[in-house]
Order: sequence, then C-alpha cells, then structure tokens
Amino acid sequence: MAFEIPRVDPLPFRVAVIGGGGTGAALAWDLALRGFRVVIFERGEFLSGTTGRHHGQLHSGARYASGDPEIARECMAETLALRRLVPDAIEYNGGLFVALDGEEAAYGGRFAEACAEAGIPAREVSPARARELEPGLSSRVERAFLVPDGTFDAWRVPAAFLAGARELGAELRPWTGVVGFDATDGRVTAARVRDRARAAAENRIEADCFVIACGAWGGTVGALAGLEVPVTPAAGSMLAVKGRLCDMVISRLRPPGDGDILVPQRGLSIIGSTQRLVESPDALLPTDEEIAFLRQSGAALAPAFADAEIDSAWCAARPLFGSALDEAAGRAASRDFAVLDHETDGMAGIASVVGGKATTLRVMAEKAADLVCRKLGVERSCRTLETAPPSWRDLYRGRAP
Amino acid sequence: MIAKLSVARGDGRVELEVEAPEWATVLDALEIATSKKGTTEARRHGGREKEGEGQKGKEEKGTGSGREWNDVDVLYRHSCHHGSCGVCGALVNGRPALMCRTPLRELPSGVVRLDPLPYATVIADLAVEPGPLFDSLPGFGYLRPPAREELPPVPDPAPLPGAPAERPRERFEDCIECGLCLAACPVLVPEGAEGSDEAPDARRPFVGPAALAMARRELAKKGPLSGPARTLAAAPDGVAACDRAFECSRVCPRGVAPGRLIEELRRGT
Ligand SMILES: Cc1cc2nc3c(=O)[nH]c(=O)nc-3n(C[C@H](O)[C@H](O)[C@H](O)COP(=O)(O)OP(=O)(O)OC[C@H]3O[C@@H](n4cnc5c(N)ncnc54)[C@H](O)[C@@H]3O)c2cc1C
Ligand code: SF4
Ligand code: FES
Repeated sequence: MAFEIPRVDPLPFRVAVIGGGGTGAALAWDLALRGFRVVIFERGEFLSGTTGRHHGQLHSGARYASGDPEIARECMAETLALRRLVPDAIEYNGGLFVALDGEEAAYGGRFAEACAEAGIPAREVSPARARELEPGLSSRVERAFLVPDGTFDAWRVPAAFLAGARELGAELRPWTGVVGFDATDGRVTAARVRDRARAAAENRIEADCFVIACGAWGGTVGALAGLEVPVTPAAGSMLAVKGRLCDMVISRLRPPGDGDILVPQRGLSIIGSTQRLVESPDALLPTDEEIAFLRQSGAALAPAFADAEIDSAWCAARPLFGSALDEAAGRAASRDFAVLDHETDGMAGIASVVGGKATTLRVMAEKAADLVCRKLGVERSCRTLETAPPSWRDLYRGRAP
Repeated sequence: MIAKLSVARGDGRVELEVEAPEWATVLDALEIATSKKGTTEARRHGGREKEGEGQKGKEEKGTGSGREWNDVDVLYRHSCHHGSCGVCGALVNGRPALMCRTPLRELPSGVVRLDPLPYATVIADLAVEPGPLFDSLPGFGYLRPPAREELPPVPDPAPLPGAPAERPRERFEDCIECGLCLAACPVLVPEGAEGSDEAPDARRPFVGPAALAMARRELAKKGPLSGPARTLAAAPDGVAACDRAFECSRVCPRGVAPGRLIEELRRGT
C-alpha cells in the first residue's frame, strides 16, 4: 500500500465506537488520527444501516437554507471538504432547483436570499438554459437556480474512512453488536458485545470512553445503558428507474418535502423520499402508496421517469433528532445533529451522536471526537480536514485467508 | 406472497419462510425473515427454523437467550439495496447474483437456495470476506465522463481555487466491484470445486475479470499512456489466463461486459 498517513504519538486511551454507519466510520477515522486506540462495533456488516441506503445527494445546503442557515452553512463547508478528501467517490455535476408552478417560482426570491445568507453560491438561470443543461427536465420549468450540489457514493465515502481507520490500527469488529453495558458508580466501564460470526459468543469489552453512533437505533442502544437518547426513527422510501435522466441533482424549488429530489446514480435515476414515523428501524420496506407517489413525483421533474422501467424500491431509517416529534413537524424540525455527553444524565464514560445526514458525517465525527477529548482531558485537534483517507478498496485488501 | 428461502449454514441449511410484497427482492425477503418483525410473521405463516446437520463450531440456536435482534440469526452482507454498493452478492439458486436486484417473482416458484459466493472465504452463512476481490483490483480512478457527449459542460457554482467555472460532466464507472464475475469465472472457480477444500489449489493464477475490465476502462480514459493498465493486462495472470467462457459478462449486474473488454485487450484495441 503506497498510502502513507502522517501519524501522531499514540494516546493511552481506548475509545469504543458503537455503530458502523457513516457517522461511526468517520468517528473511528477521526479518533484514530488523533492517536486514540479505537475499536468500532457494528452488529452487521459495516454500512448496513441507513448509510448505504441513502439517496446519494451531496447537499450544498441549498435545501436547508431558508429553514436553517446554520445547517446550510455546515453542508456547504462539508461539500467542499469531501470534494477535496474523497474526490473519486463524488460525481460533482452541480444541482438545479426548479419551480414547476407559480407558487414555487414565487418562493425563488426567498430561496436566493437564504442561500446568499448561508454563503451558498446559488445563481438563477433561465428555464431555457436549465433545459439546455438537462434536456430531460420538464417543460413546465418556470424558474431555475444552479447550486453546488453533487452526488456521492453512499457506500464508498464512508468505506474510505473505515479503510483509513483500519490503516491506523483501529480494531474493526463487524458482526458484533453491543447487547449491554456494565456500569459502576455512575460510570460505564465495559460494553457486552455479541459476536454473531462466532456462534453468539459474548464478550466484555473495556474502554475509557464509549460513543453511541447508532443512527436510528441510538435510542435502543442508549436504553441498554439506561439512557434516554432522543432519536425518532422515520422511514424514508426511494425509487430508482433504469436510465440516467440527468447528471445534476434536480430539486423542487420549494421548502423541503416529499418526493422532491431526483438524483442520478450510474445508469439509474433515483427519486426520494417520503417520511413516516416507525416504531422500529429494522427491515423497512416502501409501501405501494409511497412507490406510486414517488413515481409521480419523479415524472413531474423529468417526464421520462413516468414510463421508465423500475429498477429498485427501498426504504431507509432516518435518525430524526428529538424524541416526541409528530409526523407533520418531523421534517422541518430536525435535520440537525447533536453530540450528547451523558455525564449530564448522570452516566460518565459514554456519549452519543444523534441525527445529522450523510453529507455532514465528517463534522459530526469531529464534534463527537472533540467531546471525547474533553471527557478524557486530552488536547488533540481534529485532523480529518487536511488528511485524505485511503481508497475504499483498502478496507478489505489483504484480508485473504 | 410467501417467500421460501433455504440458506447455507456451514454444512447444513436454515429454512426460512416469510410473507413479502409481490415486488420484493431476495434481499428484502431475507431481511424481513431475519428481523424480529419477520420471525413473528414467519411463525404466523407456519415458518420454522431447521438447523443443518453436521454443523461444526456452531451453537444450537432456536432456544435460549442472546438473540437480541433476530430470532433467526443469518449473516449476510448488504448496504444500498439498489445495486450500487456491490456487497450483497450470493449464489441464488446456484448462480451469482445481487440479492437486492433479484426480484422473487423472476425466480422459479418454490424454495430459493442461497449460498455464499465461492471465490471468497466464508465468515458465516452468506457473509464472505471479499479480500481476494479487492486484492485483485488495481487502484485506477473511479470517475469517467457520462456518455452523452452532446451535452454542454456543467457550470461549477463553487469552483475549487484555480479551477475553471465550467467542468466536464462526470459519473462513476459502471463496475460496482461486486465480485460476481469472479464467482462465475470457471478459471477462478473450476466446476465442481465450489465449496470443496481443494478449490484454491485447483485455481490457476488469474487476476480475474473485474481487474481486467478496469484495465480496459483505464486505457479507454488515458490512452496508451496508462502503463499500469497495460502491464496488468500483459502479465501471465492477465488476459492470457482467460479461457473466454464469458460467464462474467452473463452475471455482471451492471452491464460492464468484462468478457468483451478482455477480448478488446487481447486484440490490443
Ligand atoms: C430516505 C433517506 C434519504 C436520505 N438521503 C440523504 C442524502 O441524499 N444525503 C445525505 O447527506 N443524507 C441523506 N440521508 C441521511 C443519512 O442517510 C443518514 O443521516 C446517515 O446515513 C446516518 O448515518 P449514521 O451512521 O448516523 O446511521 P446508520 O448508518 O444507521 O449507522 C448506525 C449503525 O449502528 C448499527 N447498530 C445498531 N444497533 C447496534 C448495536 N447494538 N451494536 C452495534 N451496532 C449497532 C446499525 O446496524 C447501523 O449500521 C437520508 C436518509 C434517509 C432515511
Ligand atoms: S465487472 Fe460487473 S460483475 Fe464484475 S465486479 Fe464489476 S460490476 Fe461486478
Ligand atoms: S445491497 Fe448494494 S448492491 Fe445489493
């Protein structure tokens, strides 16, 4: 392996990351770069939760600008960062927000202002220019804005971070789920893990700090330590048809809602998504109504979507930050993320990172690793902005028998 | 519909039965069947779990505790559920396929047999360690221009410092690095060698269809300048080791046609 990661002095602390989605992957990489001894547990294969299944939109933040300029700003910064760090796993073709009726056209003014305020370079182009750039677009387009969105490979970006963590000596433990915690005197001292590949052998794993990065499963895992982690799982469905109907990400020019993003993905076009609260994030499937709705929504943006052959329909569990959201308020309320120190809940040695989106996985990890440093009294700053991870292909290289 | 799956487990098999929507894929059915929800369903539909005989090193399941997520704990790899990550390959009724892109209704009725891909080491059940695949792959770039040449370049609203205001369109290579072509290759997995301990010895050195397809793509993008791609193709375990069975092209879920690309390398085109 020609790839050399600049190293720092090892720290005498072991940190256990629980959950091997994008957030956990980026956190393992960040902590390993700071010099921690890292172990990461994932109950299935890595990236088998929400992360691999998402839409693949690299959010410039334009979608969130009018709702929350802070989230938008963060997305813009992360888009630029990921483009530098993992360019090979990003199709950077930009995005278009298009108005399909008068109401949406009228929203354009607010949209442009909000983007400017959040530092997102959105630029209005004529409907004719929009259709020149994307001939598959609906002829109903009344107004269009160019934004710095992109598409990313939902699996390959986080897999590169895991490959980097592995390269730095982090212990990767797929097929190993946390089934309980041991606590003494208000401090979590060990996790009990079950190794599914080894006939359910159960082990006790000690660490100086535990971080729950279990996405929509955060509540369930937190409960194992008697904690209330504020995450509400919501099911989001997506529909892919055969044929690449666009190169840019096409969004509806209106406040974020259902069925309003069309994302190209190799030879497919994917429309998403929907939202419904669910009790358990496990084994979600789209409903027939959602599939029909998505088909219509895709066709509104790109008419060819209506008759294109369906390639796949699937569903992912959105980790909404917050516990008692009602379905209506859900979408606007909580695209944000939080890093929670459970010492404030009376339990030391454990923290959670909740909410967020795949675009912001790196910065979520940075904030979580900052918290780990504070908890352990370590002064090491984040290095993930200036250190590119190795290729995702290195995640499994050299693992032949 | 009721899906019936028979999943390899060591020397034995696990039988699953589950209710799934008409359009569901093999992966959907497997995921429901092995989740808590699914096992309740499975029972309702008379499902049962049978442990294979002659299993080694596996605890008897089906009773007792310690099964927090699944009542039927089957290991399988999956991520994107739409044919983009490349991790969910398995032998479906004996043929390499992505489980997420195999609708149940396209299979003959009856029990669907699921076995792990034969080119890699089995971790447990259907889960394999894809090391041999990634070891075979060169480190070539993953982006290429989309095929629609008539389209203008895209404006870049946020150019990186020094970059031009417009950029050529880009997209990922079609190959999702799933390894189905390796699993289907009669050079890498000789007939009858599947699952036999002799298999690795029976194999001739061959870098495999995926790596050679990548070499051909690299040459298409970089021209004769790509020394590494030429070297890879010209090595004794490169093009010369291919027996032209074209099984790779038949199983490739993304239309990469590695067999054709290997022929192009052979002809020097
Ligand atoms: C429909 C939909 C579309 C989306 N589209 C986009 C998009 O276009 N762009 C974007 O940026 N974001 C998008 N998102 C958001 C994004 O996918 C998620 O925010 C992100 O993937 C969450 O990552 P995570 O690592 O926090 O969670 P996950 O990926 O779910 O990872 C958590 C992991 O924890 C594991 N786990 C659970 N319990 C245990 C245990 N007991 N022990 C060990 N491990 C355990 C799970 O198996 C899982 O792998 C979308 C989300 C949805 C639902
Ligand atoms: S060439 Fe096709 S079958 Fe082979 S790894 Fe790539 S996508 Fe899979
Ligand atoms: S789950 Fe990604 S290819 Fe099947």
